[in-house]
Amino acid sequence: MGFLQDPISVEPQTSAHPYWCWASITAAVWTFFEKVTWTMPQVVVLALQPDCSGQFQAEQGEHEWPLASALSLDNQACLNTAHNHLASDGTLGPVDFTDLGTQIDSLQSPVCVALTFATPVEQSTHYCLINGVFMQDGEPWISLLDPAGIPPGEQRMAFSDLASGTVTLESSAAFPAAWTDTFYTK
Amino acid sequence: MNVQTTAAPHSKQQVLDLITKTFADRRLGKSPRTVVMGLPLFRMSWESTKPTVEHKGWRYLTLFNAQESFVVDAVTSRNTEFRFLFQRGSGRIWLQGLQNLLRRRQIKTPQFELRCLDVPAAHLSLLWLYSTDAESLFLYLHNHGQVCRKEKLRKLEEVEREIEIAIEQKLAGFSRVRLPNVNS
Repeated sequence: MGFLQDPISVEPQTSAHPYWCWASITAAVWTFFEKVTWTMPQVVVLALQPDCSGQFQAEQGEHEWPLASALSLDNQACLNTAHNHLASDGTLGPVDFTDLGTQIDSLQSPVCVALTFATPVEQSTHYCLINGVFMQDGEPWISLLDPAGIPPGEQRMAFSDLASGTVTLESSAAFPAAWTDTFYTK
Repeated sequence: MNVQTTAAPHSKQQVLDLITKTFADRRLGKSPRTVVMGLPLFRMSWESTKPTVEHKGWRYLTLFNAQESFVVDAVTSRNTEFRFLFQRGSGRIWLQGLQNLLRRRQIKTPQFELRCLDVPAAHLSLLWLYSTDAESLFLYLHNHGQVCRKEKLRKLEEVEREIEIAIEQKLAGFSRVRLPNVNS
């Protein structure tokens, strides 16, 4: 059990970009694998511009987007396999602790997760990144990077607490969101 | 300002030991000057369309030797023992927010209890001046990972309205792209 050995960090979304958790996580993963610094606006432009003309401004993409599309850069207009860092199809759901350990400790690949919150009308999903797994007092724990957290956005919690809201959005769950999906990276 | 804090269930040493163990950093335990402050932790969530504010446990604001800072949430979950959630870096923000709040002279009476309020679905956190005799007041601390500076004190209706607007905007953004799973 361990942590990603190469440094990885997430850029805060800030109130100016309240929908850009997907861009922050994608920029972190691209930077981690490509060893070149990517920013949220750069990711937004590549992921969303309709014709790859360079005319598209990041501000035009001030909205949410599926993380799987951004991680793999499946925008047909800007298709570039060099930026495809998605190793799963995004339909894994929550995974078990051993699988997290394999991805992070053995394969040295960050794992992205979708966390779902209840809102007055419908549910909304927020993306974060797991960068470490460890044992504490015989219990599995994780380290999570959250683009909506105060920098550096690092949170640590028992794996069971991350998974505690998995089935429903029970308000009694220790962690205030349900873990609804997992994205492996490469 | 006339404020009070309710006694938290964990000692300063317990909190420091938890942080040192979780982050496997013995230097933290040897830090000569540390600040630990425990405040009641509340969360706003929605069971249906109605917002619910629930007492979830305690939030410990920690500063090590003016360098490293942490927030430790001791959350009561399903009426079992406390579960602990750790955030690195944010203790300083909360303590600075508290300091700013306590500098404000305009609130002279009555007695207030200091609380923390998180709105996880909107990625917002606030300091809450709670009173049984007067209107509660709130100060925004952070918003989507951004520290809120020079914020005014707000009343509950104002906070509820702003949160409602923030959530509506978020949901409007979601419907714009019409995705089965949307994100914030």
